[in-house]
Amino acid sequence: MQWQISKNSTTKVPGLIFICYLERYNLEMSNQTNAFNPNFSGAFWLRWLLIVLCLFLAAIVLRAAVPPRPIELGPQQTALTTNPKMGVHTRLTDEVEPWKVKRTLEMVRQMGAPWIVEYFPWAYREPLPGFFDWSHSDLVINHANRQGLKVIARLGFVPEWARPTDSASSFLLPERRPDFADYVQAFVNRYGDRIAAVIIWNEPNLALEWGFQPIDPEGYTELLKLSYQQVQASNYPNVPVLGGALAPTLAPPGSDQAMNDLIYLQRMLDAGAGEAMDGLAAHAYGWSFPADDPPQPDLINFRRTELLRQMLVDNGYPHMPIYITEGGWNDHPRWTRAVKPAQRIEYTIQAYELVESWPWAKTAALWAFRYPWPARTYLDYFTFVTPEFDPKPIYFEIQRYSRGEVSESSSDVNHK
Amino acid sequence: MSFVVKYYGWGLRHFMHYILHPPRHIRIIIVSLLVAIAGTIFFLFPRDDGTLAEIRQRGTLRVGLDASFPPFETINEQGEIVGLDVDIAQAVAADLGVELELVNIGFDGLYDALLARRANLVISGLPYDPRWTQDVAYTRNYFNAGQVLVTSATKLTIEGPEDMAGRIVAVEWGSQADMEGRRLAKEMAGMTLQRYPSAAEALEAVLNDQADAAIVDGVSAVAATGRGLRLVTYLTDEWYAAAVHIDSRELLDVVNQTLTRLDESGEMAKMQAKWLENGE
Repeated sequence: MQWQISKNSTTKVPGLIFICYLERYNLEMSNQTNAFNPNFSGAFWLRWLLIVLCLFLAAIVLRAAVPPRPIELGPQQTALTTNPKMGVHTRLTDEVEPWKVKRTLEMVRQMGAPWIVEYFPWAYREPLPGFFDWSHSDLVINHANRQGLKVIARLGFVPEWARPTDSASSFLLPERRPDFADYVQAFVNRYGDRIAAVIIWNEPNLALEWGFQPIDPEGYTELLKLSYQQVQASNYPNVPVLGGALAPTLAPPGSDQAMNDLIYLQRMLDAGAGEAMDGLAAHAYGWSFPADDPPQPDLINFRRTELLRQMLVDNGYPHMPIYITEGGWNDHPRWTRAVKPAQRIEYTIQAYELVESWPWAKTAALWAFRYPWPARTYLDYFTFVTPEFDPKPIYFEIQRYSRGEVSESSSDVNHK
Repeated sequence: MSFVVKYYGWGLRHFMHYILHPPRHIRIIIVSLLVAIAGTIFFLFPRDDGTLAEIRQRGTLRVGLDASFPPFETINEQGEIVGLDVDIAQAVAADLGVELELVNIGFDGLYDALLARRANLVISGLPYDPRWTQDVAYTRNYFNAGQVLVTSATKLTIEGPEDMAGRIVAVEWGSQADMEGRRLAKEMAGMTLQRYPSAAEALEAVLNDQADAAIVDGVSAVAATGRGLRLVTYLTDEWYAAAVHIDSRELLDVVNQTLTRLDESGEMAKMQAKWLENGE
């Protein structure tokens, strides 16, 4: 008997086992005078067990090999809004199911936010040196584009092959910086015509985000320069390169955990970062203060972004735009840095309005649209939509704002 | 297929014969499987890591918490960490006959503190999270912070959400309670949702007879019970539990015993009243 098995068949191994079994079984059956001879029947059971096992293994292999059900991209959409600078940070990195990716982006568009920031980890895209897996980033960017959303891509997360064993995923040795820059170039080569900007790294002024190494603005600037050069040498040299957003922090001098963001930015600029970026990403958390609370160097609030802006101006970069790539308020019932849900709605709308009025600000992409699963901490109270896609009241309010409709706060809320 | 037909004609007697007297190679397989199962049980069966003995030897119980979550744990004007969770931790330490040592850690680092052995126990308004159950073991629940339907103590006709049709329900605008209220309003014909700037004002509306009921979070609901309001039912659950390292089995038993004792003796209710109702 001739058996044909495709080279690419995922059933190759269990299939071969099964065929070997059948052929041998046929041989033995043909040699048996009594198929139910007691001496034969023990083996008979064993063989049936093997058949079941083979089928079971084949089912597992098939199940694992079947790609997720493809989801139609659907017709080209446009995000309709009265404020074109509205944005959100999505969390699709760990979202496996394509329909959830699509649903998330549809809901962002329906809320009226034309911008998203999304994280594209280097480790996921280049799991082995030179071997790229673009499947998930294709999924996200294709759906985002189809929903009419502008994508700012945050790049980071060192693969295991590019760092010492047991080191943190943010640990990047100086000799590995060119490898990261190569990833930035590969990313831009693939998506340069479909993304709005790339962000190089995230919050490098925190030890946590710098591999628990000594915080090093000059070292980060070196990484930024290498990445910028690679983008310039890519197929899409016009893709804006954004300096990594700094964590707003008042860490005291000498802290081994964090460096004050204003000090860090000045040292970056002193090291020449201004010549290696087309814009600056910024994180603008309001904590318990309203969006219009005046900025002060010793205070963390939404308008701290203006201090970053002033620093760019003072250092000779008045035309360099700022992109707010995280920020917002939290409405957890008892977290000390949270505000009341009604205040969160009010401050968020205020923040979008403020950014619209800042000519030097490109967008405000607030944290975070939706988590793929509940964090089960106060972090869940930063989101606009639950993991089950239930819109929170803030979602409806932002949607009303983006459509120019009247807010509930001035209609049916009972103020005392 | 002939052998299948023959098999079914084979009879129970033969079947039982081969079950009771399997051939040699089947016996070998069975014995091998039993050895493998026994080995697996030996290596995987939870063994205690000696944390309880270490606590007793050291004389202190290290409890990790994030003191930014009143009334469960917060820092008072004297700079001390106080709250419902601190009282529970104190009770566990007392049952163990050791001193309590509080380790104030950011919420994101609480589980890591357990894994890195910086804390023996975490009590910090910690919601049960199934994703952590390979690394930590949770105690029994001690508080439900989910959304609660509350009404006036005198409105005895309201027994559940199904009685909300045609009623006025007060919620805090934009809150989880607001979400639950919107969901309920879709199911209950004629239910009107009235939104207030805070949970306290929503409860006040019930007391003032401006609303038939309110939906608020568990803490606000428990705090309101002493003020002429009645908890009707929980609409959602958000249970808080303490956690230990997955291998600290003996410590887990002790903490569970303390929580049971506090519940059964009524001390837990007193602690809740102290921190939630009186707002100490």
